[in-house]
Amino acid sequence: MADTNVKTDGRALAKLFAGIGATLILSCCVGCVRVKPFEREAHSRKTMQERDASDAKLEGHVHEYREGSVGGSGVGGGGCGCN
Amino acid sequence: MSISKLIAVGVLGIALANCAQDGLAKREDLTLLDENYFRCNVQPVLAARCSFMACHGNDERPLMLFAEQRFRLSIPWDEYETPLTDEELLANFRMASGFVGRDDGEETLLADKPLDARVGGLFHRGRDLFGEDDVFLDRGDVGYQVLRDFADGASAPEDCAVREEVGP
Amino acid sequence: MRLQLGIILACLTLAGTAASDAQEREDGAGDATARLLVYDDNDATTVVTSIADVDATLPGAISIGAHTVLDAVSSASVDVVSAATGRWQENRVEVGARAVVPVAGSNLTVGTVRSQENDWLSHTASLAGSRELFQKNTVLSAGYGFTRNKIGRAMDPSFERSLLSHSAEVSVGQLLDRKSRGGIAYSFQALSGFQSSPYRYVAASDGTTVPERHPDKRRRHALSAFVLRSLTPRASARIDYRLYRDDWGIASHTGTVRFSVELSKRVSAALDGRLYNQSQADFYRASYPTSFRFMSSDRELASMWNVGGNAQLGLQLGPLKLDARVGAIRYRFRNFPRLPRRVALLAGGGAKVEW
Repeated sequence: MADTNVKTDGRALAKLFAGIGATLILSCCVGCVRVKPFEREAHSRKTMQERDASDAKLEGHVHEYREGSVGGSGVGGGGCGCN
Repeated sequence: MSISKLIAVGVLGIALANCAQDGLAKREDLTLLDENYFRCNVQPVLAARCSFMACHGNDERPLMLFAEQRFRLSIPWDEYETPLTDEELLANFRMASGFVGRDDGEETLLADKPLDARVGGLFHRGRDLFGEDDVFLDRGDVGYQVLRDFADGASAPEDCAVREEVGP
Repeated sequence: MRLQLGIILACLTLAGTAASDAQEREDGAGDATARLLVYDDNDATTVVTSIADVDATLPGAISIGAHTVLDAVSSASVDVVSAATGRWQENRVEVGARAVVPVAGSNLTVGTVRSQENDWLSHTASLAGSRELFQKNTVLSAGYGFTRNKIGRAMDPSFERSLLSHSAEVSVGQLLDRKSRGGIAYSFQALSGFQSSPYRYVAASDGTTVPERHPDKRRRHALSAFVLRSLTPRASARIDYRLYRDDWGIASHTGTVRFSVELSKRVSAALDGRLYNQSQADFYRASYPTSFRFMSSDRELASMWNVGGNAQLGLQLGPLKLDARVGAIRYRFRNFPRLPRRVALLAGGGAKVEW
């Protein structure tokens, strides 16, 4: 019985994960706004740059060990075309 | 699909994934452990081997034990030699029950902590502090067997005879 | 000993950042960072965390990096109730290495981390990839990590448990318009093994006391999103939100707002605020009437909220960047009677040099 639950749970989670992953990927293929390279001046400004990774890691360090939640921090790497 | 719609889909996905495990808040059934066996057999062992004030006869220990002439519950200091009250016996029974392993494979701290590590027991700080007398040196020790039998579900009649204390 | 569990997700994040940093660097270019953060709270706990990180780009656009983290913890928290311990001190040392390799238009990051405390040893291996699409309007990232933990108990050589962790994360970042970009990420972590504290015991009000006992399995989901917008040529604002849920019954919401401003060509400043709220685990109780299958006195599993903020100042002197920060967090534990409130102060700074 326990094994069945574990398998069912695993399958449900795999479906959930696959669904969210597919949604993320599809979202990029269905006409997101296109910003041309010469329109990205604002994105290249200093205040629009990503926070230093080690600073963000230390910040996360403070919270992860004092809260019941983790994850979701990888979104910081998003935002493209401004290198 | 806009980012906002995408977020909504994701939030919905997680919200719908009601994935909490079953039975997390379930009470435990302790009826397999026998109070009579505890009173007649286990309590004398605990009193003789474990309940010194510097050991478990101390309310700062996770395994806190009451015993005659030692740590008592609301007993005047000049009556410490009187027999344990029902309340004290019940408290000891519940305390000891908490240190019995629940599942197959889960260690029974009540028996395995005071068993010498050289014969398969667990680390017991008392052995470092007080020497070999602090632990059961082998599994044949009557004290160890009593604790193990209690954990394994041994029972006794209500009118059982109380075992003589078995000191080190 | 709880310092270990977040490592793996942080690894994936670092891997993604390393990939984006490495994308357009010249051969031989690189950077080195040193950073320190001091956490001190009124629950008698002080943590000093220092980190050193170095990155270099090799011919072929391959980037390699390494980091080390040292946590020095000193605590006499109310959390520690065993008579065997008063104030305790311990160090955690983490070392890691990573490489970013361009493969068919994507960046692939492989990494490994080893972390050790007196009662905990963990090894992590991670693999992450990122790819830019649609004229760099979009970046997709995905990562996976596996951690094997070996858990011990101080002064008890007979105690050894294991904990395995699988983590995965997918994210997408997107330019929204000329002044804004945003992104969303989903991360998942599956833990299997010993997840209690070997030092904590839980007393029920009927007198039963048991060693803390948490379920062996835990599955954690987090979905997060952000929007970053340029407000003026010298100022921007970023809003982050995270929804978290796990199969122990904890659900949490985290919101963060950050304002950054360029005060002059060399000086910048940032202010941020963060609000966090979580529900308790299904098996957590402030007090148990009797023995339960799972029992915990871990306040991180209690119902709680916290609010905090930081002020940060940055200075750029040629290739050298310096920054300093101060902050505070106020915690409120709704059903952890031994510590209903806690206030923590944060102070730190860092230096980064690029070549």
